[in-house]
Amino acid sequence: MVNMLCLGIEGTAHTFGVGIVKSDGKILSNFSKTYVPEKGGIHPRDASQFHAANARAVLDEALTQANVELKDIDLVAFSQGPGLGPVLRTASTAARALAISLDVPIIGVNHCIAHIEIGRLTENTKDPVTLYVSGGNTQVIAFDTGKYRVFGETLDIPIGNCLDVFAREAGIPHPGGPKIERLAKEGKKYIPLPYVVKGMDLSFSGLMTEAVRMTRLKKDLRDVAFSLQETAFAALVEVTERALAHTEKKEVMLTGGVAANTRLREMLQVMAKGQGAKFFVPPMELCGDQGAMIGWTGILAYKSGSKQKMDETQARQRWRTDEVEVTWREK
Amino acid sequence: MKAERAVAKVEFDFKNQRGAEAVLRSLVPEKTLPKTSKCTVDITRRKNVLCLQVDAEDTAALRAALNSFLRWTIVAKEMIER
Repeated sequence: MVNMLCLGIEGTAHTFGVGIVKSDGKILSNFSKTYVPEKGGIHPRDASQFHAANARAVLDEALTQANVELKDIDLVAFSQGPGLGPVLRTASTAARALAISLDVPIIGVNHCIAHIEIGRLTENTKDPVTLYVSGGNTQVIAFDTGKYRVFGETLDIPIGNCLDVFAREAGIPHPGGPKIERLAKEGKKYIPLPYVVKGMDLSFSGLMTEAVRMTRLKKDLRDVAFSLQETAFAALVEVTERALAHTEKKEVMLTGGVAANTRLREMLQVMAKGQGAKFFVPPMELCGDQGAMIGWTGILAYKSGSKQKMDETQARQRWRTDEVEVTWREK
Repeated sequence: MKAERAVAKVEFDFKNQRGAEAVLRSLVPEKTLPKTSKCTVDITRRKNVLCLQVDAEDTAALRAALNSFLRWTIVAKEMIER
């Protein structure tokens, strides 16, 4: 098949998305809906119910935007993991139903690797060290001998979760990340907070707890937000820099929802320049969770010979980045 | 006091046998539940009718499993039927 059309379904956490991608890399559509809890964090069962209720509407909108019909689809890809169990199972069931009814192949994709591959596509990077930062994941990843290796990762909560929980505890309304960034820009005084890098891994739970404690001690919220960002991002940049030095790669890529933060971008940019590396950030609509990245990675995997039977499509809640055989890249 | 076993049977009408078969096949991988699960799920097809049966050790387990399988059945049905 010269130019195949893949429908990618994303459903790992709060977003249900459908993207339609051509095998030449053209993204025809990328539509999603996001579950926002009334209060607190994501409840997996409620998110799963939200995805199920919106799945068909999201699919229809993606087809309309792409100006294609279901019969034009040659491959169905879906986010097989990692993620929230009930949410993954809803997306995988939807994907199976589509693939079976259309009589086309199905392929499960690793969500974290999909973030890297869509960035490599749009930014035309060859072999970056990737800092993937979101509400559910924080990893420093680079390709080596057939797999995406995790050079460093969080030992407890992801950075996006750290920022979200801090925002909630400090009374900052959803979405917390952009509001913390705005407050941080007005902060002037750095308050020392726990800076935790253990080997190549990171920890943010102590940092978050201490930042919350500072707000309860009536410290200026702008200073706390500034200190929280500076401390957390410095740790992320340190680990990314060490991975870059170790691998001797010449590219750094930032992706995930927290990639929207301009301060983090600025700090990584400075570090990359110092290391003689180029710095890339995909367009923001492709940094967050969406279906196009799943569709594109599905195409890469399928064209390199990956095939899946229906009984191999069960959700993989704890599917690690470094477990995936990356068949589409040279070792 | 020992909780009584609880059973639920649900049937879904499809436009045709093909649709019922597609949904049945899409649900089969979800039937494999962990060993610690307190219920078993059976999914069969009778022409264009999909039959879902959940056997559980108690009503709480029945409710949880039934909610999940109803959600997945409906999402699968909606993906293939307009």
